[in-house]
Amino acid sequence: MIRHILAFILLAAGVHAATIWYLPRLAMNTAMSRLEAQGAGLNTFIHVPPTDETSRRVVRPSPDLLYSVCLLDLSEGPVQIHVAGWGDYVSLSLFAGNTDNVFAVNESSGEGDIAVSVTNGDGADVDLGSERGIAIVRRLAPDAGRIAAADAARRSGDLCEPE
Amino acid sequence: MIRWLITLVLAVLTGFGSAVWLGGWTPLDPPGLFRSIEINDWTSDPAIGSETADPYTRAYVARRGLLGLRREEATYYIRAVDDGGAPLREDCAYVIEGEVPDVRWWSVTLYAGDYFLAQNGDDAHSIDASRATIGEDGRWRATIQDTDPQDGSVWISSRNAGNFDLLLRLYNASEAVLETPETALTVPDVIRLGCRGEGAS
Repeated sequence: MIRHILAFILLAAGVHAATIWYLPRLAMNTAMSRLEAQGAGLNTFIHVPPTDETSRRVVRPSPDLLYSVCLLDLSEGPVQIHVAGWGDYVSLSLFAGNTDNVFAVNESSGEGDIAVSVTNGDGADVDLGSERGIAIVRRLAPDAGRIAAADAARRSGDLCEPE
Repeated sequence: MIRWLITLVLAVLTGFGSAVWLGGWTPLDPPGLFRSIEINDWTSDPAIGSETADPYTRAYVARRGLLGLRREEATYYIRAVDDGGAPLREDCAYVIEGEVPDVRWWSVTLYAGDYFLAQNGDDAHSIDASRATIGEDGRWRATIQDTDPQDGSVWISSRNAGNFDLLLRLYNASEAVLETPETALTVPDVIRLGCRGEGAS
């Protein structure tokens, strides 16, 4: 009986720890798969349409922000990202495969544009800490006029590509 | 042999079930998570997005707020009850009002029970700093209900939302709001006006 109880405790604890470790990675992989199914390629920006109730790839999207997404695959080396300033709030955030937001910066900290190189390991501005991840650009665009201006800025100036 | 098989099955079920519950992957709210900051029913956790987040917080955020930003860029406060402690419901009407926080930009967004925007076609999911009108008392207001109040107030539609929650986004908050939110941040009030069947809406 004692052996059964000990085996139960050890096995339950192991399954518990493994599940908790895996759940964020499952969420990230699911989000990336959904975005890929919607036509997002690797290491290139997809400019997500304005957020509305049909935006159902990632939970809790903001209807006041315009998003661009780059699915990062660093297996072949670093990726460089350039985000165009447009005179209002714009940020770049990088998420590792375990969902950690390893990097976030907005236009107010520089000259307006944002430029970083990302790799898995040393040798670039940002170490993602995983081979795959997601880069997200958020622009504040709570009305049609701002959406149009933000969309023009991102299509003319945003870049995500292998170095 | 049968005993070992039962032990194995029970252990796997217990380990898996407890993990998905404590990680916030079931409809039941896990105890303690996303409650390290609690101000008048708005709750938050400064570890969102951080590499220092514990595995339970990381699992919770992955399910209920994937791709949330770290606190230096944005902080998030959630509430699912009105000022009386009752769950927020589609068939009730509310006024949400508050002071302008010491941040670069803020918004309040209504999410249905599935953590997505309510599917109602009303294009009225939120209020933000750029659309809020500040009254003479220094406070902004919006009406939350399932029909347009058509009284000039900002409308947040709860139509088709069922039981819903509200997410307060604070972008580039001041150091005081980040470090001592309990004193530096005055969170919005959510006042229930009435519910269908109560004689008021």
